[in-house]
Amino acid sequence: MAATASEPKKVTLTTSDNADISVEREVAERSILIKNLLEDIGDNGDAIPIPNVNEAVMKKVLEWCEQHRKDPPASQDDDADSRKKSTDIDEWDQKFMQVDQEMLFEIILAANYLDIKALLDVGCKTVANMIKGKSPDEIRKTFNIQNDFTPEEEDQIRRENEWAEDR
Amino acid sequence: MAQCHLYKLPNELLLHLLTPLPTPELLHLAVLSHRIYTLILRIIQTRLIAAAELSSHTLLLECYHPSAKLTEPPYFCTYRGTDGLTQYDSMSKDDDENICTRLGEMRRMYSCFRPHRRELETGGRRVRRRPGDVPGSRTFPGSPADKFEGETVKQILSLDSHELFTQLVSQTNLVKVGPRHGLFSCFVGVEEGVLRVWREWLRDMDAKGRAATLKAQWKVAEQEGQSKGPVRDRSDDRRNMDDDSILWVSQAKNTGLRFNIKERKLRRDNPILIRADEEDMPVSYELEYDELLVRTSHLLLMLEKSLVQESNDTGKAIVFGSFGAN
Repeated sequence: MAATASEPKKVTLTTSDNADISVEREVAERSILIKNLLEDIGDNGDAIPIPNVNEAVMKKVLEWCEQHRKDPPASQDDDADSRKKSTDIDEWDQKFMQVDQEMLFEIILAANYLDIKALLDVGCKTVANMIKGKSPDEIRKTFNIQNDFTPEEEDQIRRENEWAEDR
Repeated sequence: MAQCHLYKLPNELLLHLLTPLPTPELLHLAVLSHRIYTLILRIIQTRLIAAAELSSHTLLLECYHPSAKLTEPPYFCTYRGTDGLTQYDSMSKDDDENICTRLGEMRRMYSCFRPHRRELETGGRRVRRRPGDVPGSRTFPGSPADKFEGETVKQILSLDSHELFTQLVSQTNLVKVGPRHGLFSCFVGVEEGVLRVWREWLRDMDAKGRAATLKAQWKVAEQEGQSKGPVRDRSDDRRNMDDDSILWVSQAKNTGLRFNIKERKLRRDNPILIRADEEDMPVSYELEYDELLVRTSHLLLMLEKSLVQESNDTGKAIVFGSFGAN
């Protein structure tokens, strides 16, 4: 018993591609999903299956959790508050988010699934910053978005859109 | 072909992504694709509803004849409704192919407010009473808690015999009532302009108003036995925005005013040697402010501007308000 108290508790996560990752419980509990799971089933040493996240993404997410392990639990900040701070991302997170788009969106999906609100926000802010100040064509190119409007429809929307200009 | 990784996200997450963006930027993104367009429509729809209700802010209307600039107080406006704002769901199901016009429809929506002469808005804040108004007495107009909204605003407009029109300066502001009475923590101008009120227009509107009351009286006569007062029907006459009874403050038609107009009969008789059909007489009309119409989308943009102003001002003491006057 004395040995376990001094050594941090570990939990094992099994990712979608059947890789086992061992991680400190405190780090893993940044995810509300895992935290609730652990509380519900009790820590009996079994591996926790995470069927929606693969190994590479899980490692990346845990890297973030490791960095932010001491953060206070996310407060219930309202929408208006998060709207204000749409651009400020802390420096470490900015570096952390310098990944290819596939990974970026996988991280957002994983953060949503694992219920890590702070990470989800960082991801969304990163994408918002990629959108900011770009023309629609540039954005389509950046994200590979297929323009599925007919030219007439697009024209119409552009015309109806003029209300963005009056302020 | 390269994949679109953005589209791997479910709508719920895309909404989460788009929600922090201010409205002008969202509109800018609307042309990207159908999926994004529908999501943006949804966000803007929600925002318009929130903006129209104006829970934290208050609309202040200042409207006066240039000579009354220093004496007319601003009027607080209470929200009365927005046409078409609630019908979105039923419409989008019917005609999916017409969804491209929806943004334009949203732009053509107007929210209706009624100006009131009153000290403060219904927000539980203290209302300064006129001397003699003892709560509970017959002359006491009522407190905000009793849903008392204040008297409607009435003004007298007079035209001299040579005048073809008179003018009203109109200014609408969006304010947030600040920490103390008379102080505003936010102040954004919605629209400002000068209304030209024509003699002929006043005459026509007076005639129209009289015809309407006559009709209403007929209705009341028909419904005899029911002890209902002559309540004017609001439901069946859907507001028509091309109506000439609305005076628009500017070309952009962002704000407009609708009045009930009644001619004030002067006691004296007409001068004898004037042919009434050839020469204009001095006339005087009573204007009752019926509605202030504000383009909902414009209101939303101004509201966002105000929110930005608020967040920039935190910690700094920038105070807009009227001092000394009250």
